[in-house]
Amino acid sequence: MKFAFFKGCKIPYYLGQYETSTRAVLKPFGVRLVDLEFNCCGYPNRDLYFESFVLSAARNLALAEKKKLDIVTPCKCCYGSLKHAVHYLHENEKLRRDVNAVLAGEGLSWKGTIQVHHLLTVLCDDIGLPAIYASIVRPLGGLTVAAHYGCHALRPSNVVHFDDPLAPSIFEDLIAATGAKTVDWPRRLDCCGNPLLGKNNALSLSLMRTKTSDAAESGADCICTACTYCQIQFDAVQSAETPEDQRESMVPAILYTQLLGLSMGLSERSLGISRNALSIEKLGPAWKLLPGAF
Amino acid sequence: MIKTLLESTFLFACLYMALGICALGILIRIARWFAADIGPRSAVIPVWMRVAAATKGFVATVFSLRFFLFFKVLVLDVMLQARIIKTDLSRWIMHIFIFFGFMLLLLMHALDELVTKKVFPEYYSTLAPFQQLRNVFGLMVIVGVAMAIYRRVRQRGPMLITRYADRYAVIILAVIMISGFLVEASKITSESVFNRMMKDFSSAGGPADEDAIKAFWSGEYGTVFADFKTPVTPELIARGKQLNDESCGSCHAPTKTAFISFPVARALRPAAVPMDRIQADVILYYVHVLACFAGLAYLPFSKFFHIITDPLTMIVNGMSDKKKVNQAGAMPRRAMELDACTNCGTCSRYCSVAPVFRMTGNETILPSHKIRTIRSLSSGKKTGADELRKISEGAFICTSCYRCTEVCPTGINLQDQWFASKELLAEKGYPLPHVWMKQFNASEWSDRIRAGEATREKDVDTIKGRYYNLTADSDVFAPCIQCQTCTNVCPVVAAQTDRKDAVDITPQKIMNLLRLGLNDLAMGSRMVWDCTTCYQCQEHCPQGIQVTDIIYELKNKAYGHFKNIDRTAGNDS
Repeated sequence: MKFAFFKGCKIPYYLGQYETSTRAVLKPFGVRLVDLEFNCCGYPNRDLYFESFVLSAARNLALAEKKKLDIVTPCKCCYGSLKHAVHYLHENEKLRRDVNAVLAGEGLSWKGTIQVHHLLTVLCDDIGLPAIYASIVRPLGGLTVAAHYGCHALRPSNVVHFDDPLAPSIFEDLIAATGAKTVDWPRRLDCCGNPLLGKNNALSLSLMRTKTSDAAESGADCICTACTYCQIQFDAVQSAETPEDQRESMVPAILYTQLLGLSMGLSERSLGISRNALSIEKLGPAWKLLPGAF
Repeated sequence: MIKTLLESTFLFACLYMALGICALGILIRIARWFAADIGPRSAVIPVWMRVAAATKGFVATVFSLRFFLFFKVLVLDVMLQARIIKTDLSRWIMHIFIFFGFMLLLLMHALDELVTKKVFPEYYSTLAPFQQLRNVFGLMVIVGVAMAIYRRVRQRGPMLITRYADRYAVIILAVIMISGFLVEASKITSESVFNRMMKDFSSAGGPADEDAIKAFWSGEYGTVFADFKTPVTPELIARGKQLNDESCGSCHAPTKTAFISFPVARALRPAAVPMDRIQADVILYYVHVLACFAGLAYLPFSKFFHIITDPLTMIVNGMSDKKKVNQAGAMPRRAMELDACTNCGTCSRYCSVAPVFRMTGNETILPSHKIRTIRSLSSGKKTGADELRKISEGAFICTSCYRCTEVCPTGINLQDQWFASKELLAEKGYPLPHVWMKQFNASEWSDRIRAGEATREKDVDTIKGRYYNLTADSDVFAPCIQCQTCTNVCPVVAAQTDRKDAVDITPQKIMNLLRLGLNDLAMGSRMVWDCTTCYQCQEHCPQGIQVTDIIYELKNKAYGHFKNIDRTAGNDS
């Protein structure tokens, strides 16, 4: 299996562990990730300029088409943005013509010959749960995880085609494979708040705290994410923005690729666990010192 | 009579003048690094603290025992220019040719008395291999300059704009190199140079010997004699060669070894006699040397100042963590970096949001333009509101992906420059649109839109969506039954952070406003600009209304209106 790897803008400098852990967990399954000179997915620009957002996404799609590769992205916002662009380009002929006219300047064009996948779908559908179960060498029994779905992969379902938008199960299924327990928490499909960071910080943090306290009340040890922005929000932002006297109430976050990698027995180094701002107590020293702890 | 540099008082005076101007210029420009305020006003610190921070940083680096890293940067980035090869092989070849060609000419040829003679005591400028090497190095520079011109013409466009500084750099290099080759070529053809050399060095006896040596030099070495009538026989040439080996050979390799200048001399043959009459070799020599001095004097004010700033920038940034910026030393570093930028356009070619520039035409989105806007913002020149709005848009469209910083051949911490300029723009009243939106409420914005539409009819057209018009198409929003599901599932409505900042108009009210044709009242609402775009409302709508897509479109349209409105104006308008 070979994919064009769409990292998005934030992974290289802000969340390098997501790239290394994604590569580490996909490698044993024979998935090859190819790097192309992609640009921004267009999502951050959609607020201001619809056309610029579509062109940004279309250029990425066209680059992958040129190499005849499907795209896989570990980021849900990039996924949503690329899927939206595909949707609009299919639907609106005038838009398609105009975008292709701009792309032609670089010798590119969008024809719609490739698919966009999210990492979780590749794991669940292309690699398959049986293969993932078979790869687990150290099940993480004893760890309780709150699966955070992330909005832009899940909704609008008629555009993104990710999972059942009201009762999704893909994330819980994948977490169950690692041996960890999942909780049913009321806020699991809600927004992490990151889209408003820098725009309305109070609101952004309030959305985040609503989720973390819900996860804690539901008995989760940590929140598991599969999106660049959600992870940044729950990890770096939560760590930086939580006042000293409230740090007890923080709920750490872990990337799904890190969780899966741990249960596959991959090295902590390749998974970049130590690069997370917040550590999960149950995983911390116990994981390091007592390999059989779970 | 030709005088070499060391013998001419005039040229010597020129050299010292050029050196003086160069040194003074460098000092002034370096001093400016510590005086310029680049970045947010809130972070401005006294000049002495900047000097102290820079000194401390320097000392800490020197004594940090990170020599390995230092030499790695010095050898790989500064000498071998590995940062260029990372992105562009042909540009690396171009730059290496110019850099090494010029530096080696400087050391071996220009500073021959100081350098080459000390290293090779038997050095003589007309001996092998120095004569060939001079041609090799000169050719390298000329090929490099030709590549630079080709590249600038070929890739001409918003990503690579050629300005005065770039033209000057190419022209001065070309003048120095071409005049150099012409000096050598005109000396080869010159009869008077030949005669002078004969007078000084020849031990030849009578006129017969002189004819022999002339026959040899005109046939083999390219000298052009105005009045040489003796019939040339193989014997005469053989005798000439023998005399040449005895008298000239010890310090004069065959002129053919000047493999560029010799063919040039051949080509100049028809003009050689008149050229010699006006002493063209002397004139060209003065052109060559004075062009070098002009280049030297103007160096600190030209693009060539990057010879000094770029290694410094590479070392400073190569040895520090680009994400952890030392604020005290940041301003002088940023000022130095602005001087280090050579306008090569690499950053713009790799810019993650370059497609936004292609669509909107706002060139201040591109990093290579942003560097210029930062320069003009820090220069103290007054920037108009329209210009600031444009610059702010460019600055905030940046996704902070660090890609420009990664590829910059000079190692400029571009991302830090962008962070600093965003802060500065926010201070000036030009922050992210989502933030400046908040200074007026929905109805105040609505008044402004109506006032704006009344005065500027033509804007309305451009703001109409070219591909979708969800907010103007009643089929899209009319099915709303006001069931409030959208409002009930909205996490932003639920959050209610602060009474003053709470959502004013809920999603179902937006649908109602659209039905009433009051789109302008929805555009400036908190709901629209605080929407997280989580698509809960759209997914849950029992009528299948594209609520989030409508909010997106309202934002687009609002921005189209609002960016043309004076944001710093008070509430009374």
